Amino acid sequence: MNTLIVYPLVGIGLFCIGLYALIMQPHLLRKLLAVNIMGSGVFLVLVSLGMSNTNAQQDPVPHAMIITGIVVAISATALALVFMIKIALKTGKAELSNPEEK
Amino acid sequence: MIIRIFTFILTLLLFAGLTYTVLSLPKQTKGLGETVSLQMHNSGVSNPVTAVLMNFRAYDTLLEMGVLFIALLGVYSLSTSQKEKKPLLQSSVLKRLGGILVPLLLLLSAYLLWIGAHAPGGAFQAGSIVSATGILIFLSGWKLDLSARHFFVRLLIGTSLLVFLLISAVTLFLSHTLLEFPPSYASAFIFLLEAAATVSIGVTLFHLFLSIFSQPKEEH
Repeated sequence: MNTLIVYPLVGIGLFCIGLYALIMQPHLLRKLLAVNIMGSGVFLVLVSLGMSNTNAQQDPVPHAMIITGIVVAISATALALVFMIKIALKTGKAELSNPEEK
Repeated sequence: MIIRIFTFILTLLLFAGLTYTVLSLPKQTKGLGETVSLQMHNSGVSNPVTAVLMNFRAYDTLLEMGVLFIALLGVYSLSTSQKEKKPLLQSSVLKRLGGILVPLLLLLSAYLLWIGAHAPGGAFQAGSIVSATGILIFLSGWKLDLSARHFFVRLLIGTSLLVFLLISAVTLFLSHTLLEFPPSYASAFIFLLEAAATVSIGVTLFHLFLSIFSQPKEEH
């Protein structure tokens, strides 16, 4: 068993934890954090798969894609934060309404 | 409660499925490492990641600059400006420390930009350090107006997109392919692109922070 297999599994785990939180947490900031954790999981899977195919030389293409992806994730997070602030200012709370409480 | 259990089981199934997919991937794939290393002598730099980012897949970076720019435009169009000129942290220690740290950080980002040609580093790392420097200046309350009302600051935000488009046009004219650098000029083109990208990434990230940070706390 290759020890490198741990990294993509941790990445998948992060993705699934983020997805669960994205569905279950009503607060928008937590949803945003969940999306970021999912993104981190995807980056980890991508970079670790790039690492495992040849042990001598790493594949630089996934690295470059991840660097690009991180910057895009930051800007998307910033845009989503502004949306969240707008919702919080309009409705008084940064949460989605829970149908069970009505 | 039922939704919670249902979601938990669904996520667990997804985890199992993705794990199976990763484990059943073919072990002996070649990837693109070999292709990249064969073309390294044409790229103008010796760091393969930089070569991929700025030469082989330069259109990725071009589009990414577009994404950053559009995200900043979106944030600007949504955010309400607030005329609050009070520094957040008033501490003489922070002010002094800022005086030492700001030049050091700018030097570090220039170093990262330069070393990106041979070793891990490059425009993105350098740009994030530039934005951290901006945040440090902002938080320690220096009398330095960095807001986007100035034409110069707006120009800095657009620099990388402008330089990228200009170089795209030049390469289209020289080699009839978008962003395909002639090997003898490749390192000059890459350095120009990286320098412009560093400045723009730094200023854009700082302004994303600034406009979110200075949102009003309640509805007026």
